[in-house]
Amino acid sequence: MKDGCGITSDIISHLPDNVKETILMCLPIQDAVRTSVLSRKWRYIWVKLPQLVFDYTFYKKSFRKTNNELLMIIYQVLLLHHGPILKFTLSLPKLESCSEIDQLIYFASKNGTQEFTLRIWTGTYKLPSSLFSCLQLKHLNLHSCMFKPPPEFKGFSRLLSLELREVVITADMLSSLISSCPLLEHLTVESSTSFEHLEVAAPNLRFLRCKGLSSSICFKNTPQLARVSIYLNKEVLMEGESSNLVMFFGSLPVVEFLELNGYYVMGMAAGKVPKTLPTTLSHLKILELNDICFGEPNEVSMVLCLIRSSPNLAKIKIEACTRETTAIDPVLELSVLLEMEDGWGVYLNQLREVEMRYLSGIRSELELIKLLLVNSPMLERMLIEPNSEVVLDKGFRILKKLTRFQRLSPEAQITYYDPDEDSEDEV
Amino acid sequence: MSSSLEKNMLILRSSDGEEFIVPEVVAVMSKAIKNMVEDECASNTIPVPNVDANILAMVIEFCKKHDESEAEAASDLKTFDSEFVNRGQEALYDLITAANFRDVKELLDALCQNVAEMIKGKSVHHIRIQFLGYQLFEILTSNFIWNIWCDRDFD
Repeated sequence: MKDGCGITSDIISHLPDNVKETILMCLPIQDAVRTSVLSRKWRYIWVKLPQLVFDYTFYKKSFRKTNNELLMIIYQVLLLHHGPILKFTLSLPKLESCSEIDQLIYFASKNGTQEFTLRIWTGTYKLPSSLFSCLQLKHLNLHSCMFKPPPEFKGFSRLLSLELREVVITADMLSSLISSCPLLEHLTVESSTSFEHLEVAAPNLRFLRCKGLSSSICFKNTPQLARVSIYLNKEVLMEGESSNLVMFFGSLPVVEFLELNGYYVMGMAAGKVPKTLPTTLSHLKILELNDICFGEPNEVSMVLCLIRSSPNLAKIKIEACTRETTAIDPVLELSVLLEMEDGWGVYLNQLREVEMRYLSGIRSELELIKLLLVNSPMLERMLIEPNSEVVLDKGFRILKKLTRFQRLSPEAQITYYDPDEDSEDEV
Repeated sequence: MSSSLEKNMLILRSSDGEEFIVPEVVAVMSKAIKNMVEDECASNTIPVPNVDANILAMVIEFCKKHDESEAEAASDLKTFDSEFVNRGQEALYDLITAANFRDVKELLDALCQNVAEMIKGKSVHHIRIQFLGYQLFEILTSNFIWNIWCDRDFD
């Protein structure tokens, strides 16, 4: 033992600096900084850490300090820090928009930040121009900010992922931001306000998640987009036009995962529902539809259209909901039911897994289950979960009907999920 | 000897001379070995200096599991990792050294995560006694970050 006066040997101090750094990266910032007082060998290890994360853990561990005190600590850490800060996160609960944040962003931008996260909790913070000069950015994650770049801003040429939540930005600005980040692979936009018209031109985009957003999304150049999730707010739908909601599938040649909510499906079904989509979604493997109202024949018809247009589906997940429905055209309802009863003559040869949740047991739900069972030769597992608020007999009636349905696949197992008992039973 | 060896298998020889027959896909999870194989400067037997048979066996076990379970659920692998790295300090040190020297990223990450978990939330006093082998508490010169964050350590 060279230093200290212990009896056991010093295990971790003799590790190479790069290993110590890896260990420190797994620690909350307090614990990492605290290692500086362990011994001389540890004093300056943390100062070169390439990531500084001031988030909820930092806040929680700081024992009821005010935001000003927390900012003071952050200043001190930055004063002592030395070298590049590849990852910088500022996400303190109750953090209000204030001018000190400008300075922190300026500091991070000067130190080569590639991964930047900023979450403001109160008020909307206007991003400073220094952020827009961070051309080395690879990941940008913003919450409650105002995104208004200076006129000379030409986009982030190295950006791979962009997440914007409750960010104030115009649709035009967002469209041009997307198209000026040529390497962008991952895009998330969540907002309670709506956009008029969003244009997505991103040749490398693979993942897209939009929530509560535009009534019209136009995919201009998205040859690689494989995972798409779109959630619409009801209000948005009522204002916008719906006809082009169907059309965008033509611009998604390789989509593998598609997640839509009921309002979106409803929007697509607003006009006349086609038998199949104009383009076959031949790469689509997983289809997830949430909050689908089976009482709406149009919506059911659109669900059928989606499934029919995706011959290579491996998994279908549908969550039903009961929504206040407007006056239903009985003729239309009947025609949709008859369509399902007649069957398809089209087989879902790849379908292995189906999940149907929150069912209330109405006829169109059961018809869809029947249809899937009789058209899927490779089906392995179907999960049925009734909505316990609507179904009073614990789903006994649904079960009774299910047992009578024909199954094309000899391997098909129907699993029944009882939400009250939290257990699964095989039927 | 090499003729009896199946294709795509390599022999790793530990510092104390024990030999392990390992599939190439498993062996190349070590970047250092991967480089040797790619540069074709490795014969069938690759010496792994500084790593004894005991530790080498552990590293191979880890790599095999990670190679096999690529399709497996990530949570299973996580459970395996956390059980695997749960060892005495000496073995931990030897494993870290081996993983770092041979450049086995997954193993090094899992081990560092484990050490971090052991340090996390502990007082400086605690860490010194547990890891650095201190017996008496050596009072350090004051440090203002220490004052800001570490005052509770004296409770």
